Amino acid sequence: MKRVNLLILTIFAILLSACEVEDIKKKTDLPNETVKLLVLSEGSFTNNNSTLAYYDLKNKTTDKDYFLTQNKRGLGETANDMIRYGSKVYIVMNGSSRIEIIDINTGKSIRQIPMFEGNVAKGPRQIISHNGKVYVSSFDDTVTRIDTASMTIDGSLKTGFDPEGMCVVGEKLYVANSGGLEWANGYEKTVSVVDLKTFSEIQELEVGINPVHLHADNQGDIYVVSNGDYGENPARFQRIDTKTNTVTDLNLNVTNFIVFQNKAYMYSYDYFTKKMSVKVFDCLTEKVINEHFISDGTILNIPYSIQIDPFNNDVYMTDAIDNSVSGDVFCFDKTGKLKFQVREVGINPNNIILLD
Amino acid sequence: MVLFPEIHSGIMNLLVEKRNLIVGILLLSGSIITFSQSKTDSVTHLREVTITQKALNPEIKSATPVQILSEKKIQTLNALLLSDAVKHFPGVTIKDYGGIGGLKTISVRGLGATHTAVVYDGIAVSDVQTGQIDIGRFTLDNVQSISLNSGQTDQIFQPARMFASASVLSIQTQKPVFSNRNITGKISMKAGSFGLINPSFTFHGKINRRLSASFNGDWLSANGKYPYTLHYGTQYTDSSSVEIRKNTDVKNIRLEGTLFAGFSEKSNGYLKAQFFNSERGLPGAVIFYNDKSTSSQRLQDNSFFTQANFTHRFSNRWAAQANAKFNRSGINYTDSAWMNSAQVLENTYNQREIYGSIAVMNSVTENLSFSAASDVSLNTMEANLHNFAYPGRLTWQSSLASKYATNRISLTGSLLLTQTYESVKSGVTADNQKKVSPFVSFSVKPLEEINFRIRSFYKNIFRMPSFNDLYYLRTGERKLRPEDAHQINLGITYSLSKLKWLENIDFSADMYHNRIKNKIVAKPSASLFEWTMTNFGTVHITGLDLHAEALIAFSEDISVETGVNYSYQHAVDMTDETNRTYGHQLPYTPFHSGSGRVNLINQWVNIAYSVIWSGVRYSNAQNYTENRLPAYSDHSISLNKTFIIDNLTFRPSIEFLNIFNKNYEVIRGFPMPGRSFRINITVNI
Repeated sequence: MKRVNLLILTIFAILLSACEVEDIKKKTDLPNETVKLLVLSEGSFTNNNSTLAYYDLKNKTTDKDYFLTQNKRGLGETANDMIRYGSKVYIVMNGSSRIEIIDINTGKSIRQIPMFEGNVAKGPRQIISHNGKVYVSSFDDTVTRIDTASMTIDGSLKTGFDPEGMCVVGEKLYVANSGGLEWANGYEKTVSVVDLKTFSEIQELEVGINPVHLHADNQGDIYVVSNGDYGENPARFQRIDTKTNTVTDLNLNVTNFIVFQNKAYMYSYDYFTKKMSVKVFDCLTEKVINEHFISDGTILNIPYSIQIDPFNNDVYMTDAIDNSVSGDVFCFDKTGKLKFQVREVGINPNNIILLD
Repeated sequence: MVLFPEIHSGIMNLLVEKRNLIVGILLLSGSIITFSQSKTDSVTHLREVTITQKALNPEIKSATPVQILSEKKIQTLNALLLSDAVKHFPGVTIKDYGGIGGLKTISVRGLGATHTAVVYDGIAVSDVQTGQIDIGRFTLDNVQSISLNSGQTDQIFQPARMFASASVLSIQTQKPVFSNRNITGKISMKAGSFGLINPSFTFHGKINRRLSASFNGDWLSANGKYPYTLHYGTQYTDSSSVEIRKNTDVKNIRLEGTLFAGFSEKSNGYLKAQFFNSERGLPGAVIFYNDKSTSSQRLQDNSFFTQANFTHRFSNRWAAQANAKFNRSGINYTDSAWMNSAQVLENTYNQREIYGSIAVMNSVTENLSFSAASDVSLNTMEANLHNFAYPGRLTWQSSLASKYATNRISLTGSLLLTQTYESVKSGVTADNQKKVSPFVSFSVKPLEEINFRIRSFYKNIFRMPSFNDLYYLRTGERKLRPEDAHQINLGITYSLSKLKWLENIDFSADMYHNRIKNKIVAKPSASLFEWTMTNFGTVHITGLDLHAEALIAFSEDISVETGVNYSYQHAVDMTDETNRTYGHQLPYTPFHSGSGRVNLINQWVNIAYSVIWSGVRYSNAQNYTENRLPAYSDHSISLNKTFIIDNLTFRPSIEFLNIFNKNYEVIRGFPMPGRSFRINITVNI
């Protein structure tokens, strides 16, 4: 008897649920604004105090050590780079020598990929993504390819000394060989051109001394920042035309930059004069279109990174203050006026990811 | 051991005599002891008491705060290295990088390690390359006493260099004492956890009526592989793992020989030579998830020095002394996993010092004396670094001092003139410096019958930028100025004897305020791998040091000797109001810290308990929760017994260290070993 009752109840429940009217979900439910920030901070040297901070723009709440809260352990030593790819965030830990892969919604770590060659830590530096893979440059003069579906290493390539920034144009990967650890021998001054199908180096281009940052517009031009040797050879900003692989000097002082919709948002900082500036450069006309982006006199002490909000063209920058105290995040609207400032997110904040 | 009242008052009478007053002060502040050898030759245990017990305890009488640890007290501290013993002085912060081989530097009253002079048998140990001394290099087997002075020592008959630091840590080695034999000595063997083996020996031989010699050797080896708990977060719920500290082995050897000459009652001297060699792993800070990066760095350092002192008393009024030292030391640093194209990093640094000093004292009356001294030191440095400057510095120091002292009042003033001449083989030289540094101190005993004193001192001194500060690769900055320190102290001391079962109690309390200007700090520069040194900082330090010591005799056979210290330090950055660190406590400076010891002496087994503790401190310049290092305490207990068979004195002991097994961190990332033990046997012949 009881079993029959249960059956009737079940059928009844099913019928009842089928009668509920459900709204048809709007197909145009796309994200239209940034609501959260993830800020990566390097921490102090050998203090194991790298942090991933989380800032909720709507509620104006911060969790300065979001990674620790979600994972019950610290990130580790010297977090150097971070990208978002799909539903995951990839964090490059230089000191702890590993890649930490976290879920973008929960902040929980899904996989840690140790970056060691036998007993030697590779010392990973920067990371970019392309076509289901992420590429990591390391101090042991290699670029490592990681498959994002299986989250395992599936390729490695020897480059020039101490590769740093990378970018992809077409089916080629361009790697800046900084030679940062070869400072006693005059650094390095090449960009490796890598064929992604064969994952092998096909060419080396000569650029300025100590190249570190590479970003491309959508016309096949790659812009390169080289830091020079902090002495006789000054910093340089150059353009590589990937169709002809020619390198042209652009006489601009650039410390770091980002390219968005064919505009390069660049900042420069001079350690001797302690002066900073933020400019906007048009990649199509190859000219600076805004010499003083910040329009309300806001000054950053040591600008450390720059990011653009794709929805409203807000410009986000981080300020390392003096490289030893906890730094800030600044948000400017597209006219260069300060919208808000988040104080003390972490020591040496070097990366912002915007979440919608 | 137990102090008998008759000897106590006998010493009071003996030492009130003017001449022996001078001797007593010389004795305890770092000059040669053989000056008094003719007086105290035949009264061996009296001599021992002079140093270890309270009769005219300089800690009580001194116008500048001074703490003294005698050999007997050091034995109750469960200490292996000089740094372990020095942790028991108030006002001291030791930066201890862990294990036996880790670097240990001493900062007194928040001023920093570069302001503390380390003196070995009356002559300063110097390191112009780094500006600080690694006190972990000194073992305690041949140490007779350690004293720590704030400001400067209480006496004026000393080399000019002894006036030249904000604090002085002085080590006196054991001197030969012959009663009825011409050869005495000591053999000691220590063994313990983490592969510790430490044999040592000392022999004193009497050559003739005027000459005696000592020979001392010490070998220390440990593998240092201690387990520790690595915490990945700050809450108890955060994960942790148990790891083993790697690459922290150490092998040290020290050989030292000294020739003592007592030419006459009026003149004596010593000549010493020491060879030291150390080979050890540098584990570096613990890095989360990566124990490979800490295993490749090694350090080998060696030093050879020879030093001599000659003191002559011309008359009751005039005395002179000459000091000289030659020192050669080298460091070889290797990193076998260095990432550059050479795949290995090897840096070699060598330093040389030649030092000479002449000092003269004139005792105008029984109470008033003047002194003058002139010191010259030449320091040079070589390194196999790219584009190295090969710097040299000639330092000429002259001092003038005067002291007026009675039983109840003392007034001392001194002036130090310093002139430096810099030179380089390549590149730009640093600026020559010329400085005048004054000092004044005053102490008074208001009531004749009560051993209560009030004391105060003011000192203005500086420390020269080190060769690293000026010339290291591209971090060095030639235009650096010296770092200035101003010190003011106000304190009281009180001593009470013979109160029922309380044989003796000593108490001192000192309040101080120090200021540092033109602090030499590293600031970021264009290349983030190397920073630049700048004079950029003002620090204000306010503090309180409390010290108490007591000897309680329950009966003839049972007594308790105890001591306790407490320090309060408020050391804040006052450089710039707009700075984010303004008003924050300096890194690694605890607000509260202290130490204690209780020593139970009886005829069966002696028990010695010691503890050091530190309150909360911060690993960064900002006093935020994430930078907080928790408070810790380190408790140790030991058992020892002394017995005599034939003419040999045996002293076996067993020590249990850090009994609560805490892997605390003095410096972030450098955990201390947990629970461990040591067995020690010493034979005196």
